[in-house]
Amino acid sequence: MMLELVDLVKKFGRTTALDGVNLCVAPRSIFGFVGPNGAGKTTAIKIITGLIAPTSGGVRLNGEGLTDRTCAEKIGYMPDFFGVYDNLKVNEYMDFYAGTYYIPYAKRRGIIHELLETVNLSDKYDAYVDSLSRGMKQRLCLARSLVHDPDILVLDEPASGLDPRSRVEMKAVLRRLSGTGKTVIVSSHILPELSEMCTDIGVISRGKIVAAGNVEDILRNLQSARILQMRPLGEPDALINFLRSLPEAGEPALASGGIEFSFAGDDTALAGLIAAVTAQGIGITAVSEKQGSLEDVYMQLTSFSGEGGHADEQQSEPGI
Amino acid sequence: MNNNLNPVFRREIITALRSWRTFFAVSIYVGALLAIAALLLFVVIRIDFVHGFNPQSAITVYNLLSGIQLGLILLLVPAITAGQINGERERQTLDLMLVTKMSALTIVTGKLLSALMLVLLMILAGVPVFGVFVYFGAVSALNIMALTVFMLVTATMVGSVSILCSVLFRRTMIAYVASYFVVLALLAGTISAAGITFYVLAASHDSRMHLSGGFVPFVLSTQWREIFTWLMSFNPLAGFMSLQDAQTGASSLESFLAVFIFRFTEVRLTSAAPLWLVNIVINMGLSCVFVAISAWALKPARRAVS
Ligand SMILES: Nc1ncnc2c1ncn2[C@@H]1O[C@H](COP(=O)(O)OP(=O)(O)OP(=O)(O)O)[C@@H](O)[C@H]1O
Ligand SMILES: [Mg+2]
Repeated sequence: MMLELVDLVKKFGRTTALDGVNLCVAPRSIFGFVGPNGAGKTTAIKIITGLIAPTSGGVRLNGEGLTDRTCAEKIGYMPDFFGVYDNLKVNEYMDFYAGTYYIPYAKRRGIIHELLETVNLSDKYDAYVDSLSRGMKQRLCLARSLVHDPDILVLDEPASGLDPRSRVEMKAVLRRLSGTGKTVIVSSHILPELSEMCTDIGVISRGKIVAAGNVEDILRNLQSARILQMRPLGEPDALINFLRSLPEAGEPALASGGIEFSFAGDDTALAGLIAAVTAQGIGITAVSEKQGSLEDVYMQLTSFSGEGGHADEQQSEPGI
Repeated sequence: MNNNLNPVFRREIITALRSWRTFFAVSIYVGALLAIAALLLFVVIRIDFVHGFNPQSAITVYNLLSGIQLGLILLLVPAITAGQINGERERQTLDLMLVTKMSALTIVTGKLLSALMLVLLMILAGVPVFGVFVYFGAVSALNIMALTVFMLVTATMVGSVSILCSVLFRRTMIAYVASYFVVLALLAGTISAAGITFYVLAASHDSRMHLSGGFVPFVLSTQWREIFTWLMSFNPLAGFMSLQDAQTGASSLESFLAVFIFRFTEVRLTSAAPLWLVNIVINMGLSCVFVAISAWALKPARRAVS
């Protein structure tokens, strides 16, 4: 199932939550939707699930606009909260949602057992829902969103509030689901969490997509601004002064591994730089490139996209 | 089991049967009804002991008790129902239901039915208490059936108003206040409106009329009676009193209304059918309208342009 967001705009009064979002989620991909708090992830997801209407633009499934029917049948939704009821057992909870999709009674037992198996909750079949731990509720919620076997699974921050082990398990479950042919869309404001799992990511900041595509592509595109470290022989002053005179090098700083600076140039330019430095008579004992982690890319993308003010907010986020 | 049973209703029944609150509510209700019946009978029989037994006093107790039941229903139904949709909103389970194949109408009726289930339980649990009066010879079993149907329909109408308020007002408190306001408007608002139209009509007919009092032109009184009857067919209390009058042969409705503003004219209803029957039909219609509006308002404003 191909899912497209076309010129999606959503305004809440004066706030523009989504400002012309265009995205294409390929079938069978695991798409990571990343952005800081308030970027518009939840808004986009609610539009995909048909819970709110866009101000303009729309969502297409296999090239066609969404209808009530396709929405309900093709899309599974797990919100960023888990709604549970008092006095209801796990199997009854699942049975209720199976009922909301009018799955015949005869089939329900099998489906429920299978789904609880998938999310490792089989032993909680007869437990009360409100007695489950947070992580268990989250997994139950995932099982619930799968009850009608949707083609597209939309999960809003499925890993928030989970301990590292549960996160790994959640990722494994999602990967397994994608293996069965489902398209999975996951949102998060923590990038490394998605990096190992997703095939594609879309970075959203203040209602705009600032980067989208294959995880590796996005990383490669950003390597034009790589961070280099050089360890000089002896005093670093000569090297620092020389680097300052180069327009393609950023402001050098002293780091534990030597002099650290950003460098805009490809590998040929880097070789030229090393030759130029040695030609100056500055001894270099080591040159290394800091691996541009997805986190760094993300920080750059989401802070440079706006007019400032947002960067601080991201710094204060837990990160990992 | 039936595959078409409303899923929301089914779930609510499972949880309600498991909750002590359900049994608590029903027992409190029946207990209160029994206590009031016993008290009234005790008082009446004591009086009768002095003056000799009078079957009319059993009728009076029956009237009072069923009046109290109506009052309890008008108070209870909004309390049970007006928080239903907001309850799901607060639990954040409303969105989860809206994304499913269930229509908004299914959600609304499921919620309404489960709220009314409790009231139905209460009304039915109260039937044996009223049975005492059949034993006393005050009323017939058919009377009690008519009363039960009337109460159920009234409860459904008030319930659907409350559900609508719960859909429209996201603040639960406001939903409660709005529901009780509608109930009050139906009870007192219709009577006031009838009074106001009477004076307005009178003033337009003859400006001196309502100053001198007493004389009311024939045209005015027939014209007004039409409006009055129409207004009263929305009033649950008027419907209830007309039912009681039909059952016990009294004319409490007329005398009750005459106490208010209508001493200038004879309070007479012009409807062909008895008012309580009209009331039942209108309340069924209103319930459908309110439920339909609720469903329409609950449905997310879907999709758009592409
Ligand atoms: N119902 C609403 N009414 C008014 N403003 C809203 C509403 N929902 C969202 N917004 C605004 O839209 C913007 C995007 O919110 P959204 O919830 O989509 O962000 P998010 O990316 O999901 O953030 P988070 O990571 O915190 O979940 C925010 O500025 C928010 O204040
Ligand atoms: Mg969100």
